[in-house]
Amino acid sequence: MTNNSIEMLDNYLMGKLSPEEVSSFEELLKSDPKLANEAILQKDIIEGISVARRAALKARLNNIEIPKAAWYSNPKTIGVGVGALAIVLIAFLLLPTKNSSVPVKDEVIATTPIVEEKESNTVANTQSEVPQNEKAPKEAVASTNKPKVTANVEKPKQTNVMAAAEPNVTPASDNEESVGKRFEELDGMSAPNASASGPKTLNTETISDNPTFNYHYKRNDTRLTLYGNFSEKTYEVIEINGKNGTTFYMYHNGSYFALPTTGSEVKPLSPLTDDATIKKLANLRKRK
Amino acid sequence: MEDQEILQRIKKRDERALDYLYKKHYKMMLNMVVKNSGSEDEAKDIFQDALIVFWEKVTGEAEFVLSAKLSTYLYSICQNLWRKELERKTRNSGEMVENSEVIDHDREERESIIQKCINSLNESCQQILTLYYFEKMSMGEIAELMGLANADTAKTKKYKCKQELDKTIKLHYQAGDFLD
Repeated sequence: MTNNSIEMLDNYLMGKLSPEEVSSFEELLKSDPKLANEAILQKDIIEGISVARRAALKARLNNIEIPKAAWYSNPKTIGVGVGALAIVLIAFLLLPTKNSSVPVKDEVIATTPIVEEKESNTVANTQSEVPQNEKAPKEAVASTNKPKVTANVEKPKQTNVMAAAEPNVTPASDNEESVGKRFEELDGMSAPNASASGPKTLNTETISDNPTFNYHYKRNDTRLTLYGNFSEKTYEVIEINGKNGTTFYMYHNGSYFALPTTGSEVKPLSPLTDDATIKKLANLRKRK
Repeated sequence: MEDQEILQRIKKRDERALDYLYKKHYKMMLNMVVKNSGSEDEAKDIFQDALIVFWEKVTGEAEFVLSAKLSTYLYSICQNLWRKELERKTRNSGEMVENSEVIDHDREERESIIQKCINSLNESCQQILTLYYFEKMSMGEIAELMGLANADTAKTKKYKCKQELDKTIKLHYQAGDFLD
């Protein structure tokens, strides 16, 4: 075989010949058994190269660590998860709390998961920066169907959590693990009287490049300022409204933080260590 | 990353774009397969295959345009692959052992020889042959990606590497008596 016929064969197999060239080359293949055999071999080799490449790509993907599926993603475990949750809730509602004279059922709990986009500005105000459409399910703020219960709403278009959670069922959704849908109001924990005099809106802003403060916060009655890089991991502000007032907590990167008011002072964010509080907050976050 | 940015990266054969898609959409694809009688391992397998199909589409078609959101597109590839897999499983479970496909041992051995010979090539030869035959890149693009002087240099290198591969495979084939 000549170099020319080998090159023609290569171009033929790679689909680089014109229709006329294909016809004449196929005529040649019919009349030349040796070339026809070579064509079969070359086709196998090209396929072999593709097989090797696909295997390499697959191996690459296979090495990527994906966290184990959440219990709610597997129908076989949903029953177990729901059962366990029901037991926890019943116990939570029936047992009196030790540290507070306020019955748990009088509390309003509203959690505010906030996902931030990468920010170029020094100060990012979440009220104005959050995209309104696709991100809505992730950023949904819990509201309640009960009358006179106020949930804090940071962003004007996030007041209806039920509507916001719906797009999660569509295949086209970009949600990987929607945070927003977890935060619906628990019936038994609604506060019937927490309405007009309920908690004030807590606006949140982050300052990512403060040279002095990293992983700090400052809070007054209406504003929470977070210092540090919060763009990589979702943080959530958890609000507990009871008769004794409103308490704010934050969840970030696997830890919980109490957010008592600091006035104008900036304080470091220190993870909670009290197991009971952590457990309670974790239950609240996962209560759906 | 926006859909268009991901496409651009894949067109440049940036495998990290594939990693990103895998992590981003894993749970959505897992749910689809698991809700349709599949296991997590099967879901993983199907999604990996779907991403490779997607990669080949984007790199193989110069004018590839997304007709829907990228996540929707991937989802439909996964659905199709999973449907085929379910059909295959149903077919296989209904067949008697003696009716199962006749395995072409010779073919398997030939494929195995080809894989061994590809792996025996040096890394740059493997790369240039992959870029040409699988990624379907032009010689100019290959030269740029591999830091070669120009398209002609890339063409010569590809030719030599291919010759070496052909020669090794033919030697092994003769040993296995596959050639006439």
